Amino acid sequence: MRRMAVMLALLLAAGCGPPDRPYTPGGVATPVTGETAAAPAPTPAQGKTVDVGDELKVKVEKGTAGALQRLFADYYVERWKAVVTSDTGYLRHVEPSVIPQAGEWVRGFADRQESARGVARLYRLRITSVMGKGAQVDTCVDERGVRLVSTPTGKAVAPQPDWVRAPYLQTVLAHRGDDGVWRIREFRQDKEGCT
Amino acid sequence: MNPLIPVLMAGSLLLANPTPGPQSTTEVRTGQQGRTAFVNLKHSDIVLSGDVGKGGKRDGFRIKRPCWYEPGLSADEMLKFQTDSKTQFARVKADEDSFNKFVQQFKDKKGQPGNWWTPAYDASDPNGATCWAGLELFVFVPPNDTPPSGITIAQLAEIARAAITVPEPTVKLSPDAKSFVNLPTFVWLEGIGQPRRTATATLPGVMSATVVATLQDIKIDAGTGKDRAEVREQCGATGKPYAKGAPFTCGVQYLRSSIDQPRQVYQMTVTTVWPVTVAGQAVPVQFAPIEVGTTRDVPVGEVQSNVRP
Repeated sequence: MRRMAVMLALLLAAGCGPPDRPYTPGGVATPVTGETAAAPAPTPAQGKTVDVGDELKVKVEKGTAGALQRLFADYYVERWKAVVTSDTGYLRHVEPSVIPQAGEWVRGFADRQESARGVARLYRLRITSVMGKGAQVDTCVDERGVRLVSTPTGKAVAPQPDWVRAPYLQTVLAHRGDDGVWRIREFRQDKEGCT
Repeated sequence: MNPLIPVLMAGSLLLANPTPGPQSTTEVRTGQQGRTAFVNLKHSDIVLSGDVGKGGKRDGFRIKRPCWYEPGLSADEMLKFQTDSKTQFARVKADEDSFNKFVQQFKDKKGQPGNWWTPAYDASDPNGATCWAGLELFVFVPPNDTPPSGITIAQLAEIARAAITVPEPTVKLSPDAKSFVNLPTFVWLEGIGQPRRTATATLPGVMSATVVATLQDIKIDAGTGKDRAEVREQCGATGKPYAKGAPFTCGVQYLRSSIDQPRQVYQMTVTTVWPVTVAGQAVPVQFAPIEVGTTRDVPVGEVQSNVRP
């Protein structure tokens, strides 16, 4: 089919794990990542856990130094913050064509009166390929520690979605804009690759 | 189809899902099935026709650059679509400010001659998606012009070349079940059907390219060295079936028993060779032939004779 332009990832996270160093998602003016398919060497000082809300945390594996390598992780964390605070800052990490689905995903929580709690874990963040202004970044997502909860009651929603049952591979295709910023153009998931 | 229609459809699917999970809204098939690569065009208007379907073999030919731009809507058509309140409702609702910035590029081109070109790619290529991500989503191009990385007739011919399939033949031998030392083993092919195959890649209303593969020859690998087998390859396109008294011009004459070989057989490989040309010579491109090999086990025994004084 013509131009199956752009699709969206739908994920989740949450938390109450042991606090590590504070995590600061990448900013808009993140430096341009060089054209290399090799992931930067791990940087122990950058292990991090971010508090998304009172009951939700995201643990990001250490050694994720570059803006491109962190692209999905930054989006992921800020998207969860949007669920809690309605802040749309996470949309800066995606191209315009992805915005409708991304927004829909976040609004869906409010519409259903749901939130999440627990700990999500992102690991094996890696740049798998770079071609010109395009790149593929893979991230393993483990949301087994996350539970969807009803906002009015605070109780876990039943049944829980399938994605809390096993880690999955989250792939994003990213484009570097003329402003030098990498943004997500497409999301893909695979049940294989992260177990 | 307009490029954003799938997106909107995806949005509808999300609305229908009470607890959206991490599934993709579109599935992209990549890679190979066995040794058969398949062309998998994404975001493309290109139509493939001819001998490109199932029941044949491809040889894994890859397009040199697995992504490209294709011409699409005119300036006014694109503006109309991108600002349509019904189809763009989800986008406006998600982030109106971002939406306004996004559509400004289309407003800027209102009334101008030309077309918006959008990127497409071959998802069967491991680098196809990343290549596509490196292109812009929308490029406005004046009439009769092609942007850098715009689709060309040569690239279209490459796509047809990558898509074309040829039949995998059945190798026939005589003698069939077992051969013997110094006995000619005739080789021929069955199940070829038409020895001429074509594939056409068409960008509707713009251009098309057709490639033609014609079975010309077969090659025989006896599965052992010259000290153990003599190969005769005057086979024509499909070999020479055994006939009583027929000259032995296509096949193998094994000189040694296969008793000492793995599984006590020689592994004979017969490869069909299909030179490929571009129909009409519209494209100054030369392609390597398609070669499809089939392997058969050939047990070779020795004829024992007893001589009594």
